[in-house]
Amino acid sequence: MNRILLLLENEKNRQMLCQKLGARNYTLLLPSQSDTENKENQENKKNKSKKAKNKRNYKISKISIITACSIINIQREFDIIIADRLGLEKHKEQLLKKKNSKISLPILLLLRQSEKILSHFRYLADDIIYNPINIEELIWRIENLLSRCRLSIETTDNQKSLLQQSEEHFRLLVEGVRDYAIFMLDNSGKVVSWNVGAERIMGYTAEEILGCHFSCFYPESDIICGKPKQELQLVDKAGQCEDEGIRIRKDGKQFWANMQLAALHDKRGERVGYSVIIHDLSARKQIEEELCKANRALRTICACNQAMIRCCEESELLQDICRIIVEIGKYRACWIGKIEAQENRLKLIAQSGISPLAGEQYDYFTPANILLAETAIRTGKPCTAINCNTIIALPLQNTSMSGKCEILGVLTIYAAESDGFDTSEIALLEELAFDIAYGIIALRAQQECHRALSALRESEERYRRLVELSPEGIIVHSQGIIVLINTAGAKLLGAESPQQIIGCRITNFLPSQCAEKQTVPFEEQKLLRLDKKEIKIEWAATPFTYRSQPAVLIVIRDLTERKRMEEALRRYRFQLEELVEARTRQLMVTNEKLQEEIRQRARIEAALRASEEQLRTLINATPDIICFKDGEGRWLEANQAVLELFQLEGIKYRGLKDSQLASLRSFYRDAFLTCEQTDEKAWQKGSLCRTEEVIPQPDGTVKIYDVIKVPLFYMNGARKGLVVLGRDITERKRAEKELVRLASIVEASDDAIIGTTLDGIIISWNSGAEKIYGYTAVEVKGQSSSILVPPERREELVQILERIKQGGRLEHYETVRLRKDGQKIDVAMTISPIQDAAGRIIGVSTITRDISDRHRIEAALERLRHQNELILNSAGEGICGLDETGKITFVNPAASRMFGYDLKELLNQPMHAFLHHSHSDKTPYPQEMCPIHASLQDGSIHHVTNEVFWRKDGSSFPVEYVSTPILEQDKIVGAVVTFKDITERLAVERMKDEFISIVSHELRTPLTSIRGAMGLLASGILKSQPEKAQRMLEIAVNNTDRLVRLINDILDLDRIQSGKAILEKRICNAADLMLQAADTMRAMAEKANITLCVEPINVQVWADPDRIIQTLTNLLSNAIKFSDAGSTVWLSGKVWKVTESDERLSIPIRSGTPADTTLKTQSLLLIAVRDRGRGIPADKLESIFERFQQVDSSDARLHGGTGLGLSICRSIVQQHGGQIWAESIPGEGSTFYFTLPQVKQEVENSTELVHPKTGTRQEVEQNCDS
Amino acid sequence: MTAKRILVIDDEEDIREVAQLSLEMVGGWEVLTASSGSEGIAKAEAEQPDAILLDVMMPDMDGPATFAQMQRRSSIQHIPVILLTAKVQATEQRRFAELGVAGIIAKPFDPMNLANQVAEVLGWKDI
Repeated sequence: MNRILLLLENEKNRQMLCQKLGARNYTLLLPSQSDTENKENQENKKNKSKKAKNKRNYKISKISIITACSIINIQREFDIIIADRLGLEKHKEQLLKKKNSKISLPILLLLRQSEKILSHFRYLADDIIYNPINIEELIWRIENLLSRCRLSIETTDNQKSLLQQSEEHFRLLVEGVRDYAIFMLDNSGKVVSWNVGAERIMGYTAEEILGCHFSCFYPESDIICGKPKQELQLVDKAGQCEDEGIRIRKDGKQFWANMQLAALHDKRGERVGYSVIIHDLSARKQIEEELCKANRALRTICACNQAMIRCCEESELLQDICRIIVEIGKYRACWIGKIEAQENRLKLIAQSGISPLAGEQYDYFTPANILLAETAIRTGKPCTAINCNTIIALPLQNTSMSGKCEILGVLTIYAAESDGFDTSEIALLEELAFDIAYGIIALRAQQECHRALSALRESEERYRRLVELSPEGIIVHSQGIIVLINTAGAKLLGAESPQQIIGCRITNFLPSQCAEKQTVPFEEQKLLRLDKKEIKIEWAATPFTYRSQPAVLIVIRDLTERKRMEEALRRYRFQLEELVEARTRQLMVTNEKLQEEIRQRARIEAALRASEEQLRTLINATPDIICFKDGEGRWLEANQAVLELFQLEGIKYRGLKDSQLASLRSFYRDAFLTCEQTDEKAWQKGSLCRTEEVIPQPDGTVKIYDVIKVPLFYMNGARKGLVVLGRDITERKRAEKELVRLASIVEASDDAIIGTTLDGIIISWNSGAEKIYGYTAVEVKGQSSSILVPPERREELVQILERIKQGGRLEHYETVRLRKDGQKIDVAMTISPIQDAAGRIIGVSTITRDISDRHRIEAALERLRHQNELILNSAGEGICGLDETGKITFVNPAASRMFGYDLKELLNQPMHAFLHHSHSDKTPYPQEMCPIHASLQDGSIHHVTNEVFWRKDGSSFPVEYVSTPILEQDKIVGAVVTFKDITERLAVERMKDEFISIVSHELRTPLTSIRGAMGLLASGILKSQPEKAQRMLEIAVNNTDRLVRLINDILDLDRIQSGKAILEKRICNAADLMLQAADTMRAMAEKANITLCVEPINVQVWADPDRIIQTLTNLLSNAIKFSDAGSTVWLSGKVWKVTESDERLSIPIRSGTPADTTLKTQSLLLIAVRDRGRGIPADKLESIFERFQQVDSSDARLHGGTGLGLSICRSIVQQHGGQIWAESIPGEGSTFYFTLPQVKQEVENSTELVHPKTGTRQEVEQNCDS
Repeated sequence: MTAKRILVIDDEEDIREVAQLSLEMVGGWEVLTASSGSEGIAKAEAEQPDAILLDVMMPDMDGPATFAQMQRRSSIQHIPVILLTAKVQATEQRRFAELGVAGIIAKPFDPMNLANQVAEVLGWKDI
């Protein structure tokens, strides 16, 4: 059922058509235009009566109202529009849109006859029908339009879907292409489409790139020269363009691309944009480049190889190679280094290449590069450094036949590009390096060969010259043909020049068997010369290789001359022999005669010898030395004694002079020389001469001879001979000497050595005796020894002599003797008998020592010992002496007092077990661990401070002791222990520690508050809470004040106690001080609503007023602090007479303190401060005066005290020679008293002893206006 | 998690105040205070705090004595106690450590760090 949209403004026509077409089974649609609707509504109402039923039956469902604006949207809701001019006018714009959208919408225009068809209507309308309407015509036109339209729709739909399909396929195809970037640009060059390939190749996603100009794919340089624009212009001209070049990805990477641009035109030929296809060529480009590189490398290798073949000099070759590598290989630079064997370092041999800077020669031989090269050499492998230079170092190594790898040097190449070297290139370069290495080796081998060849040539030349110059003939023949002969040889053969002989057969000159023999030592042979003369020769032959041919070398020596010489020699020899024979005969006759003479002489000699022998035996037998010398001093004969003395046995001494013997027997050199001198003296004297000669012996002793020398003279006075006789007197001499020595010892002795007869007659007297007794030897010799004995001891002497006669002796007999001057002396005597050789007692020897000195020393020692004992006894330290077993041998009174034992109880007791047996905690103390024991064991000294000794009563006391070993001649014979009781010292130390701890705590407490408050404030955490911040500030300030007070008090107290604060004492009036102190405290009292009553006393005191006021204010301040508001504090003074028996007030009066008191009583000023506070418990009354001791430590916080005030008061009062104390009844109040020595008493309030508490008082009302 | 509750026992009012403010502001804990050992013990029994900061030097009953008392009471012996002390001599520190307290914090303390020190001693992680 076709649907018709009626756009009819004409009411009549609309109604008519509704009616007519509705009956024809069309669905009618009407725009919901308000006027139309209204009219329709009206119409519907009108029609209700007429055609209501009809309309309802047939058309009510077929007429729909639509809104005008939705006409386009419901395009498919109707099939045809019937519109009049006004209707069309009204919906013109929408309809025009519809028409342009190519959607088929047939419009049937209903016109009045008179109406003109306007052009745009013509464009809009598909058919026109004029009024009046013939319904049949209308229906036909409708159907016709509909059928046309349907056809067109069908065809276009068909085509469209096909087109769309293919377009879709194409689009998918394009979009799916991955290898090519395919995208479109609009006319301005901006990207409008983007495929997967583009995304992959260019890196941008579609969202990112759409709308961007395509020039972003070009490198900067291309953009500057306007390449993108030029390419588009080219495309405009030629329709398309293709370009290969660098393009840039999103990530900035460049790649080599092929880019095809083509213009896109619409149907009308208008350009609508460009298509772009980009293909990534980087892989291809890379391959191309690699190929190119490989090609270059191959060409380099090739060129290098050619250079190697051409070249004949190594450095030239290497320089060439460097040049080739740079020129043909297109590398930036290269150099070759060689290893210097001696220096073991790399030396630059050749280099080529240019510097990156303006083409100058650039030094690539830098340490870094050398290092790289050295690495390559070391590893034998190519070594690359990828840095800005891009370097490769290649070892030049050659593997020899034996498989040994030798590294000749290194080739270092610098790449021209930054991408360095790839693997294949490195492989080729490695090959190049191998080739170069091989080339070098080949070149060296070639040069070596040349050198060897020329050396060979030279050597041959030298040999040839040698052969030529040889005086012997040298012939070389090869298979019998002479190939070489020297000039001498040629001459020998009778030829004029060697050439004449060369080529001849050897057999021409030598017997044929000679030609066959290969090796001949020199042997004689005949030689046939060219002139057919035969000469005798000596020849030798040796086979050898001459010019690669087996040959024989023959050496020929002419023997003609030698033979002649031999002949002459033989002749001479013969003549000589004859001569000798004749002479021999002559000699034999002479000899016969001689023999006879000799025999005769021998007989005479034998006779002589026999007599001589007898004499010699005689001489030899005597122990004396006997020697004969001739007139010139030559030894003629010496007897056995002489020979033995000088060890001359077996030596031919005869005929030798003394000097010669001296050099022969150098040990006796001096003896011989002395002998020669004394000989000369004897000669000079001309008669017998006697001397003593000392002859040293090899065993170190000497022999002394008494020598007699007798000179003998010829008649004419010439010297004939000398007889030397000597006797050994060594023993005698020794005995004499010994005697002298002993006598001198006796003489030199300090002791008196006196010899007497058995009757006491003095026979010897040494100088010691002279010294002791005062007599000289002359005075006493021959006198009785009794003159030396005091009269009362004469009997003693008789007894001693008696005893000696019996053979006894006395040793160290101490007695008294008499000096010459009558003084008695203490002596110690050793008396012994003197015996003769037969053992008979013939006398008495007395050795006397003066011991008066010894006695004096002993007395001094005794005094010293006594002194030491006194010192030890009076020492405050305990001193204990121990023997080597640890037993007590000495103890001083201090020690015995400390131990609580009597001295006697301690002596001989083992110290450790007795006094040192346990530790302070009563655990046993083994002796092995004890330092004192150690001192006894190893002689060490110990200083011990942490042990205890034990008393008799079982208690212990801490000691500090030193144990020291007693050494006698490096032996430990005991030990000394000195010790101190350190109980008090420890207590003091403990007190000090406690005080420091308390002070530390007292200082830290306010500091903690300050630190805490300040820390919180500083952190800013309290910014939002000002009231808390304020509180913290208060805490900080209060505690700072407290800290300041505390420090002041501590310093004050210290100054007063240590005496550093000098009290400025003067005479002052007590009343003034009291009133002044009360004035100071008045403000405080008023504030606390306390009444302050003062009873001043007009008394002079000797005091420092400031300090007394300080004491008073301190006490008043305390009283005020501890009093309840409204109560009263009293300050009063009294004069108080006390006797010394009153213990509390018996204060020693300091010298210089002007106090006019009698010895028995003294007058004191007593000051009292009384309150009605809560009182002080009895057990605290003393301790409150100690430092930091308050009744309740919270008091200090509450009342701002430091805990030092009363301590200060006490110190001040004590420094004034007074006392301070407190009395209190808890709950009722306290009274603090202190006393000061009184100076003068002007006004005496009371002459009796008045208890301060009950004393009368003069009240001074204080203003209490608070 | 409920805030930790700390009992500070110190005879010095100023120190109590500073410590309280510090632990409240920095640690975010609830702080109870007591001015003496006996008051502290009573408060600890009544309030069952998570930890106790105990001053050493106090009149009447000092810190170690208070701690010994606490250890004898089953209701509070499990509560960790940290000693707060101005005594800094090594021998004293050693003596305190031997008592068996959870930790020792020296005076003067840094108020910004006190809570951290306490938490560190007690192994509390939530600060």
